[in-house]
Amino acid sequence: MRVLAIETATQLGSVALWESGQLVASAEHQIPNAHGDQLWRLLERCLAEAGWQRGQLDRIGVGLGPGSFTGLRVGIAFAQGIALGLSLPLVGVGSLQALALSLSEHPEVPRAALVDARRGEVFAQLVSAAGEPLAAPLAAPYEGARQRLTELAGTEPLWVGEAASLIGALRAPGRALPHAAEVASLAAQLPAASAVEPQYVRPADAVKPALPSSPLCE
Amino acid sequence: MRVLGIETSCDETAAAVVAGAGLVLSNVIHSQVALHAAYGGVVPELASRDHLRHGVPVVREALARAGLSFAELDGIAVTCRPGLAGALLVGTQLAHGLAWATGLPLVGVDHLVGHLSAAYLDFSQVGGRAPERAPELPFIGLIASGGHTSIYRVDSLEPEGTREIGGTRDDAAGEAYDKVAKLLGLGYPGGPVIDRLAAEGDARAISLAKPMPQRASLEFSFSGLKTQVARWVDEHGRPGDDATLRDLCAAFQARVVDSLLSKTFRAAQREQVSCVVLGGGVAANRELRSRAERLARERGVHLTLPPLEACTDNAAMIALAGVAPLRRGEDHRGALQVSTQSSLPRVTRKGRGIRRG
Repeated sequence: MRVLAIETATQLGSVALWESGQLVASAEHQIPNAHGDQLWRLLERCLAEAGWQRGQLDRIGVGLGPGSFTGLRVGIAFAQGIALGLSLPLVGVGSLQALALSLSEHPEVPRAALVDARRGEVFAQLVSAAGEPLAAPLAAPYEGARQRLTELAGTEPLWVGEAASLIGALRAPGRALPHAAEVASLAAQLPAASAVEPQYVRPADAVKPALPSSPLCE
Repeated sequence: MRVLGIETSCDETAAAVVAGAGLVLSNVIHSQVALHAAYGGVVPELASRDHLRHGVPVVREALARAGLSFAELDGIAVTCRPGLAGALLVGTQLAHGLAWATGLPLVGVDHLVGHLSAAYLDFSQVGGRAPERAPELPFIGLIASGGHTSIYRVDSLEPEGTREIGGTRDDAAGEAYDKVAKLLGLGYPGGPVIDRLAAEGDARAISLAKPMPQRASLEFSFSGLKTQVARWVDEHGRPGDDATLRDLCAAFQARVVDSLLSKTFRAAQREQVSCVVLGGGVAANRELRSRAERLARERGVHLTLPPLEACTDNAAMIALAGVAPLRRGEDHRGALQVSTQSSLPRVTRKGRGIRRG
């Protein structure tokens, strides 16, 4: 099975091609606010490197976050377009689950994957040693996040991702940020859904005003 | 040439397929009005989230209704400006992914050029009507909506052939409707409800001053008018009976409509252009439409009033605006930029006077 994956939850934007348990090609960029401009180029570069045609793809994988709301939508909308245009299944993958998978050591300890959520918080998710999510992703203030996640895990987890430093934890060897390579490997295994929805974790900042209504209103 | 249009610049997720000169083969719109109504206006983050959820089903539906596959299309056109940045990105990225997958050329379209093109759309195959008399170039186009209010001289349906000759210095006309509706407790959006109430009111019962009354100016200002309504409410309280509420709506609407039409027809006279086109959501206003028709008859002006579905945001107008650049061989794949600003040159700056020199 040939998988094309896209990951744009953080400032690291990446594209990867995956086949039969192996990474075939990948490309990434870290230009701020430029996923929209860069994805096309990364995609073309990966396909050229692999020598694949777009018609040879079997499924599309995409990172669902949590992360930057706009960044996520840029990657997901692009992936939706590709899947729709090629009539391929689209598989959404948790970006933190993908990040946890990048751990290069494999002791039997839960992992806590982390990315910076800004506003003094991290997005975090506990993932089992086998790679299964143990809970839904959450947002936690830097202060106290380490203790809270340790309590939730029942033991000190392995901290994956550069955001470990924000909560005073020691980072285990693995990727700094979620990457399409792990998104692709998960997308190859997970079932496809009819629609994908980002893992926003946080609600939209919107306050309902007290709008008095007129009785003449329908 | 068959073009798929995609529009996500504000609070409508829309896709349409249009053939050549403007024959609409399908026109699908998912409106977010109900989503934003509780907030009294469009919440950008909620709009973006909703666009992402509905983009794919809306495009799928547009193709299904047109009975076409991607292989039978000649190109994709997508709104890339002006609008809410996050909302625009969802549409342009979806279109980009589609273009990459299908190999179809892709062009970014200015939403305002779309509105000015809408008068050429023929809805006869999708349960609507064909234009009774298509506009003739050059024409004077008024776009009045919740986000824009400007008069254009249109020599060709492209950014290069379209020039703003007057715009609003502050609020857009539709924005003024929404704000006044909020003041009066009429909910959101304000246009349809004020239009309905105004039809039964007496505009002369309450006196509101004319906005930007200078005969020579083609600029608009609606924020002062809104303040006048606010002041009236401060003084008299919220209208206590239906009749007063209707009169206040009628007085407000009469001033808006008068300002929009007198300046638009004056622009036609000044530019010596005999054709006038109205567009944008406010062009769905019944009083605006009937008074425009009367004025056009009196002055011997060829007026084109697009059907309601062509006035409010839709993707058919975007597809049609994409036809010319696609025919020329333009292709923005891999290089499509979004912007919150229109590409059309402006003469009126918001919050300022006339730009000179």
